[in-house]
Amino acid sequence: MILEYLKLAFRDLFANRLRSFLSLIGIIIGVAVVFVIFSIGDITEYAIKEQISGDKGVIVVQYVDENTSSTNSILAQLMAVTGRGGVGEQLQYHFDEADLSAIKDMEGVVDTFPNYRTTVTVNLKSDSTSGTVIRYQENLMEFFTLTLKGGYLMSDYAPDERMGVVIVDTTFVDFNAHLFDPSIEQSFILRNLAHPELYPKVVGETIRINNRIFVIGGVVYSDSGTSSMLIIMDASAYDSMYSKGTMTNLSVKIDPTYDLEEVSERVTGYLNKTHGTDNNYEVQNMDTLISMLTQVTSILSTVMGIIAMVSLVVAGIGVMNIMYVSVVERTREIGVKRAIGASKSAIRFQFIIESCTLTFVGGMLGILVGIGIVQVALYLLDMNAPTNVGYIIFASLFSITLGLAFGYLPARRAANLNIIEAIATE
Amino acid sequence: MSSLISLKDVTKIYRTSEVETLALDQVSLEVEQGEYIAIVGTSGSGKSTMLNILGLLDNATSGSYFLAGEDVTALDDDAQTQRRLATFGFVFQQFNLMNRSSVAANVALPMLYKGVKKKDRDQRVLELLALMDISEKLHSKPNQLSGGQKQRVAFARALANYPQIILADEPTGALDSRNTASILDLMATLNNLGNTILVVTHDMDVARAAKRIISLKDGRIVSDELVDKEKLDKPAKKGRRKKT
Ligand SMILES: Nc1ncnc2c1ncn2[C@@H]1O[C@H](COP(=O)(O)OP(=O)(O)OP(=O)(O)O)[C@@H](O)[C@H]1O
Ligand SMILES: [Mg+2]
Repeated sequence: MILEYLKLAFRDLFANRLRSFLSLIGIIIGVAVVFVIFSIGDITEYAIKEQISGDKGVIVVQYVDENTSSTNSILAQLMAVTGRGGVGEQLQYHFDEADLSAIKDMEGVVDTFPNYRTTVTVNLKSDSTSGTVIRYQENLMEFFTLTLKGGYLMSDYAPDERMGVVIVDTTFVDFNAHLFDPSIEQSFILRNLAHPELYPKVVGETIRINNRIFVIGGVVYSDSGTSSMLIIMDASAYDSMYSKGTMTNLSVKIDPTYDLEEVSERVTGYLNKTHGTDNNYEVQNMDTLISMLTQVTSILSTVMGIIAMVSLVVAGIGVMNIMYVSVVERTREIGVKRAIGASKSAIRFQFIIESCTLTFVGGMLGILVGIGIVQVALYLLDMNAPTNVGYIIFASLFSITLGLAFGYLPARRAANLNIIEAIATE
Repeated sequence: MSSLISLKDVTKIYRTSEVETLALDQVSLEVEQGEYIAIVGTSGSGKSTMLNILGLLDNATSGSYFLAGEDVTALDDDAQTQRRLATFGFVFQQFNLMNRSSVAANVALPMLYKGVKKKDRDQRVLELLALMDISEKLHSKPNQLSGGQKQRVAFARALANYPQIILADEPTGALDSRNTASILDLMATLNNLGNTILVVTHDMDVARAAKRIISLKDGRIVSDELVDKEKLDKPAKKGRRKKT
């Protein structure tokens, strides 16, 4: 029975293909936007989690000033994670040598790495670009699991040579490929950026940072995905250019056989005790980072959500209109059907099925468009994220509801037509 | 035993914004099972109005209507639809078939509303189209048929749910004489099979094919008499027979 009605509804939709499609555009747009909104939130969260899992076993301890607003501290965390450390308020030295060696000797701690980082402008050939200078230490390669892709490691250079040498990471080369080799076109598509053939070639090129000339001595690659645009600089060169206050935080690698939480607490507990501070030392909490990003995306989501709502309401009214037109066009048919035994509810059902089919088809097309947009975006950003089946189900149910809501009034009008007058209509 | 149909003092007044039309004026009528009645009268005399009220497509302004002993005037819309589905088969002058649906789907439609199973529906459709002698048009669309064929499909649809009563408003009004004759044969056959038939017509040849003729004038029944088959004029009858 329902199947027969569905068949009838489909036939009517196809009979008026163009008109049906026009009335669906709004729904397609609305549903696609809703899908994209949902996906943005998901993808940010997913991307952050990916990054965290890449750094398994490493905690980042930081000093948070109570006077600094929480947003600032979150911003600082964000900068640190994205490799752009160094925020004004935090340019104070909060970790001393004693801290480092004490923490290193703690039970469950494998190694520590003080993060001295500074975001700088780099002059490369006749152009300028940016990067994050990081202070070299003997355990750097091992701590961040860096592998050599071209040239030599810092340790391969004699101590007196190191002053004029920097080791860059592959991202730095990839991003600036068009500067190193003019035949390469500048690309904003992350996926197209990798230029492995350049890694050995850039060794020997010179770059200028704060008017000092450095030779690129090697290219390294990070598995963990945490480093980006890194320029590794020898410690004495770094110290001669930047203050100790640029150490924004301390990375601590924890033995996987120990409980991460427990060791983290031991480390922060020690720091707060020896510095006489009241919980100022803390472990960077990814939850706050995620909630911060969610905050940003939620503003975006709200704006897009309003657009989506408006377009859905407009689309709904469009559907209502098309259904009214359909009722008027088929007045005689409705009258005849009533005469040969169709109840009011049968007529109502027929029209509601029709409007729901219409909006459902629109919803499905919207989902397809939405998935398309998200996939293209993911491709361009060279990211991966699973498609949430829940949203597809939600969107289908939602679009059916839309059909119910906006199809009801036209369907009721159809059902309540005067039979005689309806049959007499031309 | 009560009559199949019993109208008593049925009045119908159409009220439009300013005008009031007295379409039926205290009409009383008894119809027994198996009758074949023609309703005649000038245009605007109330023929269609009477047929519509009988078929529960419209309600009387006043008066009573008993259908198979049941007072149907006070029934709500769903109950009236229910009686319509169970008791009546409608045939219209303009055929009123669903042009987007096949002949088979058209005939099956009343059964769909009654909730008849697909298998039974399909079988009944074949049976009816065979009875109407248009089996080969099963999958055609109505607009691929001639007027006479369309009206046969309409009759098949009207008969789908084994109605006791067939109501036909000018069923031959849009047909030529040859097709009119074939529809008259069909109605005679159906009547012989036990169907009660009420047919509204302008055409005296069609009226004389019935067993009883009711004449309306200004919403009143002015005559109601049985047809004397002996008196039928022979040319018309012969013309009809020649065809079949
Ligand atoms: N829906 C309506 N609203 C107002 N007046 C109506 C309506 N239907 C019929 N009438 C009026 O009621 C009267 C009877 O109409 P009805 O249709 O029953 O006539 P009829 O005998 O079937 O005529 P015809 O042979 O032309 O079909 C006419 O005067 C008509 O104008
Ligand atoms: Mg009429």
